[in-house]
Amino acid sequence: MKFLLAVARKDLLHIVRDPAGLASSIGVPLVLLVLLTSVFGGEKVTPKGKLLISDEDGSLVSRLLTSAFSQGELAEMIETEKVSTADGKRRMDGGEASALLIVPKGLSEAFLDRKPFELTLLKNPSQSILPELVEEVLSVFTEGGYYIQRVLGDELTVFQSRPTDAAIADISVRLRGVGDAVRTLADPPLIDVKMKQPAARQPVKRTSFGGILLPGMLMLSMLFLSQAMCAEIWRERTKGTLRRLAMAPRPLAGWLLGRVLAAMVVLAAIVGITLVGGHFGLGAEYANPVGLFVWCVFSGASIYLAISALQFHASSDRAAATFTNLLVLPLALAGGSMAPLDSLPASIARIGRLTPNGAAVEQMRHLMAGPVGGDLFVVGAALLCLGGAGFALSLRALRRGFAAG
Amino acid sequence: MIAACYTDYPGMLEIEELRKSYGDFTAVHSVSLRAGGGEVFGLLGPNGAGKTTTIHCIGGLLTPTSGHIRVNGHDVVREGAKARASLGVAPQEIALYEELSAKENLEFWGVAQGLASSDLRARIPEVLEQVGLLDRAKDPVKNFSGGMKRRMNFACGIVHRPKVLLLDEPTAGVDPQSRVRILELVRAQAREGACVLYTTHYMEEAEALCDRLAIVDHGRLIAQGTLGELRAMLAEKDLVRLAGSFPAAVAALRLADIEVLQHAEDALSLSVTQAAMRLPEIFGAIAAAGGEVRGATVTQPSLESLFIKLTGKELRE
Ligand SMILES: Nc1ncnc2c1ncn2[C@@H]1O[C@H](COP(=O)(O)OP(=O)(O)OP(=O)(O)O)[C@@H](O)[C@H]1O
Ligand SMILES: [Mg+2]
Repeated sequence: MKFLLAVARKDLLHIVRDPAGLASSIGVPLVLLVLLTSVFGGEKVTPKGKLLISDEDGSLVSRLLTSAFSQGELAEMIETEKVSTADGKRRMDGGEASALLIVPKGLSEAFLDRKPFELTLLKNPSQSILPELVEEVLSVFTEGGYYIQRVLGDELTVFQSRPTDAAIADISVRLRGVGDAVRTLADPPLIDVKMKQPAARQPVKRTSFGGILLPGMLMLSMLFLSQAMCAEIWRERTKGTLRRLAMAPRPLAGWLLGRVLAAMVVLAAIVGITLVGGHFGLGAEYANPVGLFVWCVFSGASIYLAISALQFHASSDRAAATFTNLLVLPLALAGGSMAPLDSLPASIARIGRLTPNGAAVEQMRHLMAGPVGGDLFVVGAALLCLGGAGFALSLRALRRGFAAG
Repeated sequence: MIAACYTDYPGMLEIEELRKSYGDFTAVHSVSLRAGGGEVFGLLGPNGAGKTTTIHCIGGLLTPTSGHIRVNGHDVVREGAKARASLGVAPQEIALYEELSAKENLEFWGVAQGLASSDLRARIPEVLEQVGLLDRAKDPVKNFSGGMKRRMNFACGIVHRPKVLLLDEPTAGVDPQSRVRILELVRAQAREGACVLYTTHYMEEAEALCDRLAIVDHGRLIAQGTLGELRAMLAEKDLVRLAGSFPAAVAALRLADIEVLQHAEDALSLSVTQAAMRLPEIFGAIAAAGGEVRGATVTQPSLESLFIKLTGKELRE
């Protein structure tokens, strides 16, 4: 135990004295975060979501409503596809689309009679941004937004969270100039949208766009950090300190555990700073801050152990560096660290959810949004196995003479 | 007097028929030796002789291909941790954490080598004082000079007062002052009862320091004994090294009591009794055989001449 602490202390002192290596591992993702936020927050690159529309009414009004999604800026973010209700539901079950909008028969009459009406929106629970976007548009629509969309389409910025009261007031003021015919039709609320989504995900804590990107970026930091800290394994071997330790009486398992401990301290510091910074700087909200913190450190540690096992099995320090680089970057991409999984092509997103980092990031989002589901424990158990396997393989490599080289 | 000590505590370090192979290549062939407490045992050999390999086997870093090693009575393979508990090592490379200070390095290596924390506080200034680095205790090791790092490397090997100390070329690349200091420290370790295995390819160091010696070459032990015993193998002959040009006929020279140890086109080594008096005769014979002498050095019997006699080559080539 004393030895373990001595190893951890030594590693931490090393990091404190020579922080350049770690700084870049945290700095790069931070820069990416800022860049992506500004790009996504602007209007150039947007995630493309798929909205399935089942138009059972088939009237002029329903067509006007559904065509709102394929116009202007919205068309760049949402790809719409007309389906039958049955087909749409089947595809939603398969997770193939962001949302399914069902416009039942009778919309046209109700709309023209100015009677309340109900639309059904089925949202994909594993996605967060795009279903929200569709919901956003519909809510704008139901509050008279359909006409706003037609008249002020260019100014519609859906990426801000729900329209604030101020924004609605602004929209109303501008609407007055549009004409009586429009105004009479725009009296809210004409249409009520019924949301359908698995109960476990309610209530959802809304977060800012920066907050949506935050888990992925944090994971990217943790991946880079693990990689940087694992590179020390080879440095210790090249330098001869590991050989010297192998000739000392304390078991090498203590050295390994001490390193993990140091990594966890650094991970905890980074997670803490990122979460606090994300909250105050990017407006991220956390439904379960303690759980989120523990989860981040835990998943970071198991990924650290997995990367360290890879380092131990490389043939040289260069091979180790190349190998982990080749692995970490695609993992980060597929695992939703550069752009949220929702916005990736479905095939990549499917793989991404199976990567340890991607799965961990998904759970981070859930912990940010609200109550945890059972899959948290499934993913947790899988990460525990990954970390355990990483440790066992590393120890085996050490016992088989990694130090001697 | 020191030399007599080891017989009182025999077998602090026992190596029996050690053999270590890397695949087809055998780095150490059948080396056996025994050293006791209070003794400095020299392991002398040129580059690639297998000295470091032997030390790594003793330290449990490498597993011997065959043979046995006991440290303080414990087999290094079967009771590794117990054997290593008596061991201190100063490796050939500078194995230190460069970002950490001298004091922090000693703290770490002290704990790693099993020194109790209660001892640690008192012991660290003591060791730093011994190696002359007390005033640099708080400086990171990366700011040290080569010689200071060497001394630090040594300090980390002795911080826990090991019973058996393995020193792998502890004076490599240091200035004469640091060298003298390190040799002093090694003697002090032996005086305090440690069994020291001292690896080097400096003959002078081995002669000045070691009670007993083993000479190794290509992984084989070619001579072992006290300095006196090894010198006797040379039968008080001087070593004569000549530079010039020496055709093949020179190698075939037959002169009474003169042995050709080594022959090359431009160098010739001879083992000669009372060489100073016989040089004119030697020069004459070489000239008669068609050779030419341009320079000559005469060395009294030494380990160096013994090494050349045993292996037919210079130690440092
Ligand atoms: N891992 C290894 N794989 C293959 N051969 C090795 C390995 N380590 C050492 N050797 C070989 O074993 C031989 C002995 O090496 P060793 O390092 O023990 O020599 P040494 O006496 O310490 O030399 P030096 O004075 O240069 O330090 C050398 O020929 C070396 O090339
Ligand atoms: Mg060596």
